[in-house]
Amino acid sequence: MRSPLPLQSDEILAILETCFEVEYTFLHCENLAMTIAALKRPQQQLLLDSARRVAATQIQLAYELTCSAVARWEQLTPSLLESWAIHTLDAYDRAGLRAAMALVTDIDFFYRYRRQQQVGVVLGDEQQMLGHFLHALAGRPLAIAASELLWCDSETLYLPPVLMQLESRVENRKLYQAMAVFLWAQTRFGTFMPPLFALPLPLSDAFLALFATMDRLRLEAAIQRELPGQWRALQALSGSNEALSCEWQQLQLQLSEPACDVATVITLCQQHLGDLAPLPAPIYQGTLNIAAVAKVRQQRIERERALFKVQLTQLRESLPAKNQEIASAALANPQGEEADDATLLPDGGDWWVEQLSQQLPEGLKKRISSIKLDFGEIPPEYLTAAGPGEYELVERLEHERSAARVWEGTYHEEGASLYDEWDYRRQEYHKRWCALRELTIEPQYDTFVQETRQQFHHEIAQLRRRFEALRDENRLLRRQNGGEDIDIDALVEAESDRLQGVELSEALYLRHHRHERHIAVLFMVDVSGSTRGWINQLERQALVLMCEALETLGDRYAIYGFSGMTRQRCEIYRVKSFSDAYDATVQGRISALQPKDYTRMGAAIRHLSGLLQETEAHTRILVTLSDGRPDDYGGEYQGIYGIEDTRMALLEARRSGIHPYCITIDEQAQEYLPRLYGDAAYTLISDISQLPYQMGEIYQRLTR
Amino acid sequence: MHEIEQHRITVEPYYQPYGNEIEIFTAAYANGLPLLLKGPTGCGKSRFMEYMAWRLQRPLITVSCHDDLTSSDLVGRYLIRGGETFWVDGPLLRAVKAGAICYLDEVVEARKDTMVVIHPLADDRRILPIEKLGQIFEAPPEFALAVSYNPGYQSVLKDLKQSTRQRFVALEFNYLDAELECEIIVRESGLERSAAERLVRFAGMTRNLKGSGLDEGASTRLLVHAAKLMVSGIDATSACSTAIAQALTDDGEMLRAINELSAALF
Ligand SMILES: Nc1ncnc2c1ncn2[C@@H]1O[C@H](COP(=O)(O)OP(=O)(O)OP(=O)(O)O)[C@@H](O)[C@H]1O
Ligand SMILES: [Mg+2]
Repeated sequence: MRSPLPLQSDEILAILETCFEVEYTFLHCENLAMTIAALKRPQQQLLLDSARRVAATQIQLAYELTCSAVARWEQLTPSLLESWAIHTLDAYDRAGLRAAMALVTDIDFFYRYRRQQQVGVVLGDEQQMLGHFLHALAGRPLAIAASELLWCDSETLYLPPVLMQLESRVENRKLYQAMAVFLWAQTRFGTFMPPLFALPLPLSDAFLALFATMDRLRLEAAIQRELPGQWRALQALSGSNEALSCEWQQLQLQLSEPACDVATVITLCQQHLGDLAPLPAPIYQGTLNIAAVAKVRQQRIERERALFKVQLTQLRESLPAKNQEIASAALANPQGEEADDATLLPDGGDWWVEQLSQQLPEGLKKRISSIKLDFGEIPPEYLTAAGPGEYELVERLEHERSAARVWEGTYHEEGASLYDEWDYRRQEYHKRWCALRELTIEPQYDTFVQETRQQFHHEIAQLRRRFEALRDENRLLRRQNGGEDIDIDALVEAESDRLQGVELSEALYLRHHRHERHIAVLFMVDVSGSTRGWINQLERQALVLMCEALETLGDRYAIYGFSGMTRQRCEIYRVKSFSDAYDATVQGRISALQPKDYTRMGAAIRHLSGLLQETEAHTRILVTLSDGRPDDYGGEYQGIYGIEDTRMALLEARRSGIHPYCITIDEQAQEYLPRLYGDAAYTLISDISQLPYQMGEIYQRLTR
Repeated sequence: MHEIEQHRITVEPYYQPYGNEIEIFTAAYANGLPLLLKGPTGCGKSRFMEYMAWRLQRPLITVSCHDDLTSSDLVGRYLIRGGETFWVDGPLLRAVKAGAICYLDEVVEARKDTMVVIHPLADDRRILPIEKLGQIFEAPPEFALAVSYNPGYQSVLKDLKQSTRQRFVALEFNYLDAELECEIIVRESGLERSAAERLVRFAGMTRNLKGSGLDEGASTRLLVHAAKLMVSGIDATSACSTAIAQALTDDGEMLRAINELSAALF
């Protein structure tokens, strides 16, 4: 079979010009087209395909990639070109245009990058597992962040964004874990304790290097004691088989004593400074940045001191008078020396903390263990009553923490849930791609609900009557093989059968069948900008009708709005959770539900499916109320991409046993909804004013 | 028909007490008060009941509750055989008649209307009226009723009704201190102490994750399972993975984390 004729350069030019939108971008394609015209048809196809594929994401990138590929045509194989394009897109997603361009213009760089991709492991992919792992080890969640430098500031573990120095992915994963354990050990086994910060600054490099080796030996011994399996893994990674010198062996023994702490390490370090060279660092050994640790530590200490004192003071004030007396009797200064009567003696304080430790609130318990990590004990000063400065600090902290505040400042991912997103072009998930936050709507106490009730009182009554018919019913099943009672009719019949010599039926019982609906339904309401005005009002009215009717039915239901802008800011607005009652607050929230931004649907579906999943029910339904196709700011979520991600999210939901259903008013819904929900699982309401009426009907159909 | 004798416990069950639960149970029993055992799964509630039944020399009848359990399943029903109808006692009625201890495991799982039949037994009337027989059975002093309940992962829906829970003397169970838990593992499985200690530390780590990815940490029961596998020659990491990690979660990343934890510990 002969391959088809090559494309002519004018044909190629036309393709390239559309692909690169030359009309707007003014990119020069003539030379490119000419060079490509000289290639064989399959090769032309390959180039044009990859150009198209990348252009769907970023045109400039696609253009440069095509130029680069044409220039290096001799070195390229089809699979190499393919992986080049994929990695370029990947770099673009992860690190932006500049990083992607670097890959495109420099093939050597790309070769290296590709190797990383083959054996390398990305922190993002390990973070969740490491997070669980460290949380289990430490008993509290530890923050993990990416940084080229491996170190720990005593709160956050900084790990490299990619690891690829070892020969396989498995080994590089192990390396991540080893690094994380090493940094955790610094916090767990007290590297960052007061003696370290009491050292006179600046510390010489020689001292730091020696300290790093010695402290590592100490930590390794501690790990060997507590986590022998992990220790073996560290040994396997440390790589150096050279035997230690006599002196170091001697030292290692000393450093391995369980009683050896950071103060001992410092003393040993000072003794040997100058006469002993530090050992080479194994790849998992982190660097020390004492100044940075000191700063973080200082901030934490102030924060914790304030929180601790305020909490303790509040706790004491909340005690019954009698206990307060006992506490103050025990805490009163027996010598009566110190003038300040708020000062509590450390001994008495310990007693007090111990007495109360049974009933200490969780938060305070955690705080105590956290303070002990810094000091090894609760410093006496902490047991004095909180002063105005501390109250102020606590107030400021609380203020900074409140979710709404976070939105006003620069956005960061704290407190947000991260969701994967499906990229159909690559047939792969972007891991932890969308940051989603659940916010609660401030209720607006007005007459909206009353007015809606009045306007629709007829419909509401009708809906209620209909729903009434759906309610739990108890039925008596006759002629069962087993049951609570005997079915007399069946028994009589059986008796006559028996007299006639016919075989006896065994179905002689009555069974009470309790038909429990046990349904949980979650309404996911589109509050993107396009619903502004009329649609929003009808949506809210429809919600009121549903609530009024569902209250009679007794099904568990929840209502959430969704919107957002870009993958960093997906938002879910809680109107009513499953456990909220339909009260004035919820009604106020329905009234306050206002249009926001865009519709990145995948993340919303994933989050709300999770909520549904946590709810006890036999049947779980996710009803989406929407006015159009998925779409987000910046175009990346427009078109096929958004639809495919939404579809994937719905598939995931379905796989977990949820029934998704969509009610829409988009005239063009026929084009994409069947692909998203399947033919039977959506309704198109052509006359939007019918929405409030139809909702109930649809619900009735769905749950019968 | 000494069927009830099957329910007698003749050999002393091994039970490791954590506090004064034995005294409380004994006192409640002496006063005819019903008991509610609260606590996470696999922490020794059933074992405690067996022990108490042995100690008090009473038969123990256990019913595992589920959401299809009807009141007939508890008190009894009419059956037909060869054209004859006859009545068969349910476990609760048998316990009442024999002066046994009746233990309703996971009582919240039962339907609310089913629970109502235990109400008259659980207050000072101590009677079991059976409508279908037209009879009222009075519980002898030896009879005792105990129910168990795991408040942890029950939804609001499945909370115990106040009218039910307020009839019971409540005993709260939890996982034991490391040392005692270690003792249980050694006694139950024959595993050597140092390995048992590590298992207990492993359990502690998984319990740290409760509420942050896990519904529940590893229970004593799971530790005993893993220990038994280890005694039969399975290596520690596989034993922890199959007997513990897989029982705790299906989440891939979480499974990896838990498996890595056991690999790190052993
Ligand atoms: N205090 C204890 N003394 C002796 N063995 C114990 C104790 N606690 C737990 N165990 C061990 O754990 C296993 C599980 O305990 P048990 O069956 O009593 O749990 P449970 O609390 O009834 O759990 P569930 O709520 O799941 O029924 C026992 O078989 C026993 O091996
Ligand atoms: Mg049990």
